[in-house]
Amino acid sequence: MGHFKFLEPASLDEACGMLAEFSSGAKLLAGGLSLVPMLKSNALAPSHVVDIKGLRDLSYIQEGNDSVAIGALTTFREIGKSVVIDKRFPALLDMERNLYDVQTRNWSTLGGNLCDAGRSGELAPVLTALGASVRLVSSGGQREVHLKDFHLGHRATALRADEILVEITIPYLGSRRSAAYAKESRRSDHRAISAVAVVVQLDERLTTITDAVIVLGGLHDTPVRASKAEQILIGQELRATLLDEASKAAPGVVPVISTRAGSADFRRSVTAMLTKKTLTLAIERCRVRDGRRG
Amino acid sequence: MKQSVTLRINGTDYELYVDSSATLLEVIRDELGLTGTKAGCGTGACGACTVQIDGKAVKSCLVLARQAGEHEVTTIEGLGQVGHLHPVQQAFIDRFAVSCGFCTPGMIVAAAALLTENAHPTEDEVRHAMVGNLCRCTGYVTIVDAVLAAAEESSPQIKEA
Repeated sequence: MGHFKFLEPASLDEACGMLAEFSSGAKLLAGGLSLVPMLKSNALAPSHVVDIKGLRDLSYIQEGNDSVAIGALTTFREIGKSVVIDKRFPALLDMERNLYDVQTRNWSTLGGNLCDAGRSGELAPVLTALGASVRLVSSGGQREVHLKDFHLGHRATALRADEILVEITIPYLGSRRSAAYAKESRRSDHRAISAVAVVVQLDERLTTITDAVIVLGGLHDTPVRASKAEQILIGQELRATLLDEASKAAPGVVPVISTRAGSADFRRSVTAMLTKKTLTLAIERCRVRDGRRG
Repeated sequence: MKQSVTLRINGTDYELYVDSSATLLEVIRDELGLTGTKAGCGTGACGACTVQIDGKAVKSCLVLARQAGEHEVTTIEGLGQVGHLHPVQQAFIDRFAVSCGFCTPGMIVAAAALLTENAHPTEDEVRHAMVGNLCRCTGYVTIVDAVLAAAEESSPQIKEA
């Protein structure tokens, strides 16, 4: 690894000040599971590493009036154990349960993972489907960015060099509206070769799809909406072949990457399978949730 | 560049002066001579470097040592010693769960962390909790048996340990 000075700000303000001072020479450190391998391989050689993992104020899960606010330094395991998340967004638990391994989930943070923005990232597709946004803070102020506008490419985000992602806000799903997530990964390194997050809304009789959001991860530089598949579903009564039709159409939306981990063809067929699986689960969740309240 | 840091390892505070780039694994093994924790892959894949940070299993090869400063770190040496073995260690011996032994410390530390959180895991839960620990020798069967046996035989001790 190269030589850098390790800085431990005692507050968010202090951290922002350090980023402002050292600009692109400074790198933020949260869990480090994205940064440390890059430091070890000398892919990055910052002059300063600003460790924000100790800023406990940035680790929380708060139920608000119309959304849940999650501090950026909340770990995946904390999400997995959260009663609030289980109640409001079980799709996040679908993702957390099989993300890498428990050692990673104990230490890795949501904010760090979003800023890493790897194409096999699993958090981004779920949050995008859920309509989440992130709050970015710097010495100069703060701004909210929707997840769909946050990812700009593989390992590229809208985060500026002097900004820190501090909070993720997820609006509540309305009635008869539920989400689900599933992925397939290589057995050897657990990286997703296809990740599908869906949100489905049903009408009062629970027989017709009134809205659908399908976000695909692991196939392209950023998560993508499978809009053709969504259009096949919206306004349609749930008939036997509907989900099959939508699932087949889902992966056709972008050029799909082809790597040793999974060829484009394999990723497409896995995506179709995962789309059907998640749509089925989301629809079931709509029915169960509504049944519980009714 | 070298900077000072205080680390609490197995209940003892150590004042250290280490490079800012030193990982927790390097400091545990090279500075403190606690070589029970193993360096397997260096990329966070194999789990042989597993320690507990505040009782939770974490892979120490990817944690910069300085980040552990405000936490309690437990290594395999802190879990049990000859004559006073942790129930999971005893179960690994009893169930022949050790072959070459290289993955063993990481396995035991991960299993011990699981059992403090979930004293009676199912086989699926054990396998799920230990998916981050790789073994090239045993095929995992005896390891899973040992963890289940430790859970069955000694839950009160595990809560204390």
